[in-house]
Amino acid sequence: MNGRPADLDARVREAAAAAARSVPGVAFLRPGLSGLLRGRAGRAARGAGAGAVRVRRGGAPGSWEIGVELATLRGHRALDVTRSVRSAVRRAVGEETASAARPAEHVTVTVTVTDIA
Amino acid sequence: MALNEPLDSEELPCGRSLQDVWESWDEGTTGKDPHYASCPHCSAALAELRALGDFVEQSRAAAPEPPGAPDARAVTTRVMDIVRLELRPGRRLPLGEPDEDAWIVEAAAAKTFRAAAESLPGVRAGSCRIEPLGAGSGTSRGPVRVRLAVTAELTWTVPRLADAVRERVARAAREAIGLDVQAIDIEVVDLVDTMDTTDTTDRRTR
Repeated sequence: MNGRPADLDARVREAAAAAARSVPGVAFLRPGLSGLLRGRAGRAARGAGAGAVRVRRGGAPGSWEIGVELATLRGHRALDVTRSVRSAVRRAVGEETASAARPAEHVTVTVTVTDIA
Repeated sequence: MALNEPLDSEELPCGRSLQDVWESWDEGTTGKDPHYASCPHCSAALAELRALGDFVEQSRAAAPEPPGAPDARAVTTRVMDIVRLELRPGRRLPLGEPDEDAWIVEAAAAKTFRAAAESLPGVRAGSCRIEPLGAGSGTSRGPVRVRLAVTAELTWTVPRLADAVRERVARAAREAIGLDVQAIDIEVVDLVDTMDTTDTTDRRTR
């Protein structure tokens, strides 16, 4: 076993957030404005929106469940954006865990559009 | 997480609501209330609001506004709209095919449908509810029904209005979102001589 499990979880979360943010049509990841204004959640939000990404290891070894909440931009069809995000996140999780003791084999990505900004 | 937050989560730890804080800010009375100076939660909220106000001012300076540009009050209204959307997202509705795992919150879809209806001249949209067609099916994946209330100017007849709004909503569902809408119920609430446009400005600029 190389690396602590918690570190890998954090790296997977960061990688998934970065992948989601880089998809055209993604405005921002949650928590958005209200998190920012409420302060406490805002500090997490400033950590590049990783708070909007939930990471859980699935029951089977090498399986991951990723949840992403985001706002899309007007002018981009929301469904198409979610499809691009799902495949970008799946790819990013695969790459991030490639050198881990147990690379990701089965990655489930759930995307929820919380706003069309 | 956020989807399960209680509805009163706009309340700050000190017991004041964000709305209270922002109204005081709008009215310029925060200096008169000693609570704001001593409360870390309200101070933080006010600081963020000021930062946001500055940002909005900069954006406004950069892009010329149409006539009747919103004042500070309207800016706060717009911000509150965004926050409400985040705090009261409504149910999750399925996007795409049954085997996909993508969703949109009801409030975001409703906002899009209201804007689509209001792209028609002399039409103003009110309440918009979206629910799965199969009754009581919670967040199941399947087609949905849209119920939208509209008010319009007398230049419209009810059947023409209902058809036109239905067409705009269907197109927005297809082209802007990707939501499987199988039923659209338009409720014409009122026909009026001329639309009072003063408080539609905020919604249209969103």
